[in-house]
Amino acid sequence: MAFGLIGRVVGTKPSRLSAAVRLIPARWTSTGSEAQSKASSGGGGANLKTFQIYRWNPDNPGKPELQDYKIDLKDCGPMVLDALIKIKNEMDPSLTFRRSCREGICGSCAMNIDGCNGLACLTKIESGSKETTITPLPHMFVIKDLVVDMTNFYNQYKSIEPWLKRKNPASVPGKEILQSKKDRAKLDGMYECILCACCSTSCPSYWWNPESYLGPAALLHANRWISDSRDEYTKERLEAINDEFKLYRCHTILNCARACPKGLNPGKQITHIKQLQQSG
Amino acid sequence: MGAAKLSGMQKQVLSLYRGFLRAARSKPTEDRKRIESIVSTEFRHNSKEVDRKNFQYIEYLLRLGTKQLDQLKSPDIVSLSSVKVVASKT
Repeated sequence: MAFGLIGRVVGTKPSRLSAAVRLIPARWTSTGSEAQSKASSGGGGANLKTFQIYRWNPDNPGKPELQDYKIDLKDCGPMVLDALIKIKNEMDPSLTFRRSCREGICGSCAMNIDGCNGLACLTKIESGSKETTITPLPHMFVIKDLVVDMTNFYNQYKSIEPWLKRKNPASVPGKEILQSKKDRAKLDGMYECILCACCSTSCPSYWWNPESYLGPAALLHANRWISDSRDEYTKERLEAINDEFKLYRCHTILNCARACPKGLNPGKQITHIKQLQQSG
Repeated sequence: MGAAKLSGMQKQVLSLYRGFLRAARSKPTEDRKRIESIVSTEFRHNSKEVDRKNFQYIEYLLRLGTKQLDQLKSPDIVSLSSVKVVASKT
């Protein structure tokens, strides 16, 4: 038994060591090849793309400017976020932007790329030599470079009370409140919202009334709680947003549906709320 | 004091300053003096350094100040302190 164990340990150790030994030089040579390719392609200019990025620094305040950065697309990942990270790592560490998950689920990297709002981690870099312009979300106060002030947006989300409210306790106290599959299907298209603010900042009506109009994102979530069969405050929720400014600034421009990086349709949900207001 | 008629932005800056001093009054005495000195030095420094026409930066400072004032107003916050950071060119 002991011999067998020792034998097995002896047998595995060298292979593990050799694998480790194999790993280290592989990493060294890969960076070496990268450096070589950078040197060669930098000289040759293979597949360079110019990024024009909005810069404004509150520590040296002047006028905001579009700064040009050239990136070799061969050395860079396919998404705009990869390019931004590459610029920050290699060319300009002062470039400031929000990012977190790099897979389109957190909503941090929302920005305006070539005129359209979207997530930088989900937007592919357009191939070709045309310049890509990256600016922060439109009509939002800029804190630095591509980082915007989202407090108004979050306060509007908080104002619709996005939690389950019940008048009667659950039918089985301490257990989940049950919901049929059909009722749960009513929430599809609303629960996936990641609060990236791409829709609200693409709505011209939200540009002109950001403090009074709730915006497509908050209204989508309002509809999510209104349509939830477990929530018992439906009438009160509808009355709270039945306001000339909070709801009816929506003129079905539908820029929101176009901008949503998750493929949701806030305009459709707002129409649903308006229909409920009409009937109820 | 200043100009004959104050512009809207100047009124906002003054009301922010007043808000800070009022918030300082609700804190214990020793911290109150510290808050008042920090706030007054910050406002005086910015009034000299910042260009009167640089509306974007002034609005940015106003928003920053309003957020800090909201934090200061909370009863849990006891005092304010500031650290001077000298940017070194490396």
